[in-house]
Amino acid sequence: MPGLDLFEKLSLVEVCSVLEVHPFELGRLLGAKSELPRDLRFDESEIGRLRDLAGLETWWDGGKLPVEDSDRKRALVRSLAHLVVERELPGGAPTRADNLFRGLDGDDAAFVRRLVNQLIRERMATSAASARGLLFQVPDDQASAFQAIAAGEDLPSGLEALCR
Amino acid sequence: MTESGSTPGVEDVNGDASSPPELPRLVAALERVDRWHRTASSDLESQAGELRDEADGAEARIKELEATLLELRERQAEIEGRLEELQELTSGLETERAERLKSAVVEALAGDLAIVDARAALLEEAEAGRRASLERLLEDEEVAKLVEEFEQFVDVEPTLEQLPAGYRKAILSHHEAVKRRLQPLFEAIEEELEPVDAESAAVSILASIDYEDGQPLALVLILPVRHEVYREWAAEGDGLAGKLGVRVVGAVSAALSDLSVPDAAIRYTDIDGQLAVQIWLGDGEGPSGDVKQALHRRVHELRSQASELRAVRTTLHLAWVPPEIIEALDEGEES
Repeated sequence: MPGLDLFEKLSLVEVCSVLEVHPFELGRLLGAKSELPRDLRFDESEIGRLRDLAGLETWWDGGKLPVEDSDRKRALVRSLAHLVVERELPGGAPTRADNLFRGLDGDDAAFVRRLVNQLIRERMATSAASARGLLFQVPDDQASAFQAIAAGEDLPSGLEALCR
Repeated sequence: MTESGSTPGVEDVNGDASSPPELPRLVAALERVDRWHRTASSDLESQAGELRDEADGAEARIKELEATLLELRERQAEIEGRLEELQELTSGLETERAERLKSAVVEALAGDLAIVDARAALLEEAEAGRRASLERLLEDEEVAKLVEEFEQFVDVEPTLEQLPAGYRKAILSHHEAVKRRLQPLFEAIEEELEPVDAESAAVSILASIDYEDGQPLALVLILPVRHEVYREWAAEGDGLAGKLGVRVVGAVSAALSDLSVPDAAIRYTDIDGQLAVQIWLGDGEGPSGDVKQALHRRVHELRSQASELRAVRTTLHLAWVPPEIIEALDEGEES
């Protein structure tokens, strides 16, 4: 007998697992637009729309890092700086802070999470609360600092300390 | 000559006792002075007596009033002592009220948590019931055959572009016919959960607002949901508690949009083992309306929209408490 799997909708947890967001984040986003479904089930076809609504981006594809360095942590710092410049963050629109480590696993994800916090502490970036979660923004005058890091120049002391 | 002897007089050297003597003018004058003096002295003496009497009366009244004053002072001291006792009792009463309130809240929260846990099992039953009724539909041979055809179409759909237009058209046309015949199944899939056979129940969200200078600074909600539901969402998120949490966050988010503070920071914390939602309202110009009303409206809407809550016949209510109660619960957690 054929199964129902083909027709069944996705549960809240299934959708959130695909999107890599907490169900409460989805609740907040859809609640703000009064779009929470009556039965909290979703069609698979809705995932793309939900991804856009949440501003979710996957910055790391799981393959080779865009900038190499003999030290894995420094390679991550330089690669993130490269991605920040490539995605035109300096002086541009903010992005979800968790976009900066989405696509990384385990230790790499944990390290970039700490790196994002350090960049905010170093005032190379700013953060702001929003309905889409914590937003990360790079001031225009920090563009050269990110370019220098991506290009392999010495890291600022705070970032260097984080790599040790 | 006067009899008093005290008045200056003149001896009658030529006097005859048988006839009244003619008083000399001087003696008469002296007697008049003497009479005036006696009258005046008597008047003054009389007035002095009256004043002495009045003074005595005043003295007696003062003594009476002093006695009354003393009594009143004693009474005042007695009242003040009693007042002090009452203030101590009042202070004790407030402490006891806070303790009783905290106990009542803790007990009610635990009760609501138990209701949600119990109703979670009912939700699972309702979901299983919906799935079973769909499976019964699939037991029909014709429906099963149509579903099989539908699945086959999904498998070949990516390759349709490679087929000649005529074949493609015929396959798409047949697929549309299959979909039409499967419409009852699709409708059954879309159907909301059937309400379970149970008595209705009500659970509360404990809510509190901190104000500063009359402006709302922070809103705290304690849900009838264990904190693990937030932390272990992958395992717990599809249960009743997880859904209830998402519903409340959705209602809060809608209320924040209504209040023109959609980006207010939200934190999820553990208070006494239960999930607390803390919303910071102190940034910028703050909320543009009444926070309580906005939240009430959105929670009220939620009751009619959340199919899982309706299925398990459970309604959500907001219960407002002073911030001290939340602090007491939080302190209880730390201690």
